[in-house]
Amino acid sequence: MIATDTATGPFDSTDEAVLRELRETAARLDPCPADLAERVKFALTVQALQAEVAQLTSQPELVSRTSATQEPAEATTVTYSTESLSIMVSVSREGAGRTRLDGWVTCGPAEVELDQGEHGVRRATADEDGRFVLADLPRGLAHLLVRPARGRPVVTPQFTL
Amino acid sequence: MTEHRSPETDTAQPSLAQRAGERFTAYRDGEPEAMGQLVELLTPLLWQVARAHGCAAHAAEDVVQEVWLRLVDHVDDIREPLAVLGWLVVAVKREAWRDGRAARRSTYDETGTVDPGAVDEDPESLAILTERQRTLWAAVGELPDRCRVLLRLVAFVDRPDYDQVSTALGMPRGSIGPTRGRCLDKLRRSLAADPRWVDA
Repeated sequence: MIATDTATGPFDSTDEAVLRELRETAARLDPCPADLAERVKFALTVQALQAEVAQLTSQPELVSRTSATQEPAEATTVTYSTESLSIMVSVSREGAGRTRLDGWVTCGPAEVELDQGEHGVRRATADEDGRFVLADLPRGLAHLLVRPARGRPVVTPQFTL
Repeated sequence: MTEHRSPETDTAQPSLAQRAGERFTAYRDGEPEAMGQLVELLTPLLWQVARAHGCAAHAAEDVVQEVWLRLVDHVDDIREPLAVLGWLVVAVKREAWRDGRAARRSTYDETGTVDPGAVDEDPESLAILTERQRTLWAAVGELPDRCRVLLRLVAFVDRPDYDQVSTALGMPRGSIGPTRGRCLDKLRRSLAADPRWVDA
């Protein structure tokens, strides 16, 4: 049978080209959602830390802030909460494409990690009042991990810096 | 001139399964960020696995995520790091089937032809494809299910991984590569007979 003859022929460059074209076609017609890998990684983090996921409890709002130098700066503030604590995050622009994050947690002193994916992890310590600052951050997606002195760690969903 | 090779035939280039195995080993040896790199490397393939097995888009996302969470719990069960790609493909395939059965139970369809994984093939979505790609997609759609799934998935891996993908799909080794195999042969014949492919 002729069909058998060509089916047992060696895999050649035309076969390669057909499969390459098929990959291109499937990827265009039915692409993997761009943020799926990010969401999987987030779910893995939550699972690994046995963390609680804080929910967004206030919509982002623009607030005007007056800095020490009297220059008004705009900041976006959001709040994430679990049953046991709230995390307020205020993001403002710094020069040269950098960003500053002012945070406040209701649990008092805590270890805080900001995960910026490929940009790495930055750490800070929230003081007795629960305040912490992370300055000179690259822009992009990030989420916070808060480790209170007692209780389970808490992660926020991703937000944009 | 042994150094001069085309990328396709360069055997020094690790295949997708090899790169995945390498990241998996690094994770197991205490490098937590290697899991994130593995997720980035294989999630696009696993998406195609779920979709090729009939998952609706939203269900495909859940299936892929669920399987990654399960992998982390089963790290110690995977003795051969090179096999991690096949493990994931099998897991997504099974989860997709389970999801498909659940979806068919909850969706009433008098024609019995529900295919939640069908790509939206209205003229508008097909318009993003070239004429040649539309022809190819239609020809693949005409193939028997097993062939359609096999070809769609091997298209996303490297040639040394074809056997692992075939086995994961329950097809014999050698279903594709080193010989052309029946599935690809059928597709090539169908394309060769189509003037829109030949002339494009």
